[in-house]
Amino acid sequence: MRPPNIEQRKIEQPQVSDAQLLCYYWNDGLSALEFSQISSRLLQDAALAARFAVLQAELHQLKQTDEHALSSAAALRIRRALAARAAAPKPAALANWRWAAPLLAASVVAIWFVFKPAASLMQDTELAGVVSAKAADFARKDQMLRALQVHLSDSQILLENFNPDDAASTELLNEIIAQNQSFERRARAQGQGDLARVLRAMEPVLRALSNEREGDLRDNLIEQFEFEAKSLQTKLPMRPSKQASTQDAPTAI
Amino acid sequence: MLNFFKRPKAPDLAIFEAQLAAHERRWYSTCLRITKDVGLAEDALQEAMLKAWDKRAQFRAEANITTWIHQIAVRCALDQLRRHRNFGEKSIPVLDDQNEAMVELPDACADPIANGVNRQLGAQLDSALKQLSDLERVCFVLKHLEGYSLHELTQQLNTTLDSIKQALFRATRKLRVNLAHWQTEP
Repeated sequence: MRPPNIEQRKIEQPQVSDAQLLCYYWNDGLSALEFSQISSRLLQDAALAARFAVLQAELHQLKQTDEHALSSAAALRIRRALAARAAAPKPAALANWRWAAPLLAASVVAIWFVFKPAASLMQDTELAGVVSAKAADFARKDQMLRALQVHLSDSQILLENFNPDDAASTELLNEIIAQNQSFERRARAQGQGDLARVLRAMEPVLRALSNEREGDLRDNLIEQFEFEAKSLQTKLPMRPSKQASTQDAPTAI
Repeated sequence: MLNFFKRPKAPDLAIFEAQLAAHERRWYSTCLRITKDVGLAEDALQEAMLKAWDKRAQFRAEANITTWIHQIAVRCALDQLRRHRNFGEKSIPVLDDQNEAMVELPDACADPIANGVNRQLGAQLDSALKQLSDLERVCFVLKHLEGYSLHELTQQLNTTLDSIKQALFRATRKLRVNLAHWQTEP
């Protein structure tokens, strides 16, 4: 009697492959339909159920790995390194983000320059009649500026410690971006167009940094950020607030 | 409005030292299985502890600090492997026959293994893990022993889902063959 040919053997083989059974075991890598089909097959096909039982048992055994002891010398070295790092004034990891500190500080200064022309308007005798009406507005703006400085300060702390691979870090950055958007909306609502533009310019850089892992691309991004920040710094002090010049001060400054 | 700026106090050195004392074996074992090298595993654990310390301000109180440091240790071990073995550049061989059936093995459920035998099996498994390629071993360790999802593996290893699946299937098949050989020994 002739042995069955290849086609016959294929027909006799179970349709569910070992690879599919593995994915079924892990409940990962299968569509809901595939998972449901294999579940049904396992109930109907005793041979397949037996294969899966063997696979399950062996995979369970493969989890029985030993834990290895760290050598006492290595354990001591790690503890000393940790203690030394804890005693150090600043973690070395912050060095990669030191560029952000002066840039954010410069942004605070630039924002202050946006308010300076408006503040100087209060001293203008021609506007004496509207000073009382504007006082509340300036108080609100001043309050917002202080909150904004806190926001920028916290952003600075985040950037110093930011790790794109860390979920908690990324989540915090997203919150910073959301806060940034909130400040930008408030600035727009209060008619502070230049301030809103500064905040808008910061957002894409923050957003890109949250996604960037490649060293070269990140360097390019940093260069782009530096360029934009410098251009903002050169423009803002020279150009008074548009709203301040067109609304607050009808006469030319 | 700025409530989220009020972060919880970061864990201090005493907490880190206590964590290290309690979990160093597990973290080191994971690093060792990934790197297959004692020196690299020790370096990975040290790097992980220092990184965790540097980033302690980002740690959220509601998270589990043990799990948090463990994940950092896994990343550091992968980094060590990449740095020293060009892990990321390693090509993945194509399976000769993707439908190849796994070796038929005796039913392990029928005869439960005693604890002492389990220890021998553990040593045998560690030895078998060393015979896998870097990608096969890392995929198996992270998926089966560490419980990562396939999607997380594609992100951690920066490769495709198909490559991950193939590496996992090859690793499992090789380990089962090795296990069968061990089980048939007296």
